[in-house]
Amino acid sequence: MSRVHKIFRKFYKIGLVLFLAIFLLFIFDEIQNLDIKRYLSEHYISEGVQETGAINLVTSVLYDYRGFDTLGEATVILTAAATLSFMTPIKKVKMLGTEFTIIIYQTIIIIIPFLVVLGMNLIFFGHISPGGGFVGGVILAMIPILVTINYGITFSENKLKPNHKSLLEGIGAIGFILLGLLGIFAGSNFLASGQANFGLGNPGELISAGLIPYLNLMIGIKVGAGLAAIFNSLIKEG
Amino acid sequence: MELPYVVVIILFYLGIYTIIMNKNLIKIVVGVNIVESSLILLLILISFKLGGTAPILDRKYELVVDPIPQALALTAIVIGGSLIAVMLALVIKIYKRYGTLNVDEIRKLRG
Amino acid sequence: MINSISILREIIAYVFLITGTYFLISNAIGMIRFPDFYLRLHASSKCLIAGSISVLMGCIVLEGISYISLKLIIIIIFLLITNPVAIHAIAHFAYNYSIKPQKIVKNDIKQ
Repeated sequence: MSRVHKIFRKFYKIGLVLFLAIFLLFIFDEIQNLDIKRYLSEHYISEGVQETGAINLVTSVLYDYRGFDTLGEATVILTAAATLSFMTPIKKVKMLGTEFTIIIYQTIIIIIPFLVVLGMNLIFFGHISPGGGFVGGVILAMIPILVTINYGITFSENKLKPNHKSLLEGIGAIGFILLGLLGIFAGSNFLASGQANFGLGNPGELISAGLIPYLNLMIGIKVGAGLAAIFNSLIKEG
Repeated sequence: MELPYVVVIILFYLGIYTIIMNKNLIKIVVGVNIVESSLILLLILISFKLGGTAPILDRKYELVVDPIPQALALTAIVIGGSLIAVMLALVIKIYKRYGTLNVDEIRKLRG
Repeated sequence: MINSISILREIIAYVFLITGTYFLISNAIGMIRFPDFYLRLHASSKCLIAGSISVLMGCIVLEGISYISLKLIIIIIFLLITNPVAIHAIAHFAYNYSIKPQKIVKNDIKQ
């Protein structure tokens, strides 16, 4: 009885998943043949460079037209880092590690300067070429992770202290909010950089597009420090 | 019915199948990650136009791809990463308390 | 496509792309079916590098001599430097934590 019951439950689960898959197939068939005009996208494509001054349209949507959603996402990273560092014990710094050979140490010493330059290039030129604050921040977070894996956690916490990392994360978050308040002091809405008529400059140069390069820098610092702090907390629990 | 939409459906239901049928906690976390990836692929597929270029206007182009869902996908990637980090920390705490990673045995021992 | 790229260049690019796809599929199958830890590491590292370089060489042949081909060559050099070092680190760590292979023919590390 129980063996037949187990086989029946297995086939029941597979059948349910297949039935829901065919149901979703019919919905996608109707989504594909919709032919509505997208008015908002056409407005952003034709008027975006003139109103904001940034060539990269995704950056102008993410930091100027919908800047409030970026603030919400920065809050998500802050909450995750705070939750994880609350759950780790304070004194125990044991970590599984071993002594590596000289090939690995020399390769890491050669690669780290290139990682710094690549990260800073993606952050600063975020409004001219593809990139932005988030990608640059993730690459900058790789450097403390590499040092922690190879040299052990005691050495890594001696050189790059956790207090400095949480200070950088705080600077990133509060800097973003203060730059948003600058829009209120100029007489317009919160986080407004094209509406408040800041100096827009020529599109295509480094210093242009009002507030957007500085917002990129703050988000890059915040994401980098937050991800490095998350990794160190996860390693310390073992 | 084009091919990328079918791939989205296959990935989504492979992820849900992994969450339902497995007994190991870490494989369930991997399943959640697969479902997340399929939804980000769906967001990018909505904004596609045949023959369009990327939305970076250094010259004058005729047909440019929609930039709004791409910004939403960027947000979704970061949020998915933070979710997996918190889940893994909770899995470590469960292992230290109960000593096993099997879902059936954890359900039996309560306290 | 025929008026701007000649047929010979297209055939060479397709040969590269199909070879790359074959290597990447065999990488995925090998990671699941091999029984031991060191065998899986062996299958993964070699097939991944071969597949990635074949696909990127196909893209270089399609683009011709331009600025984009230089960027792709730099990506290939970076992959060739860092991937063997990473696999070496994983294998060295596993040996020091006494994950022994099942049949040892000759032991090089213990001197």
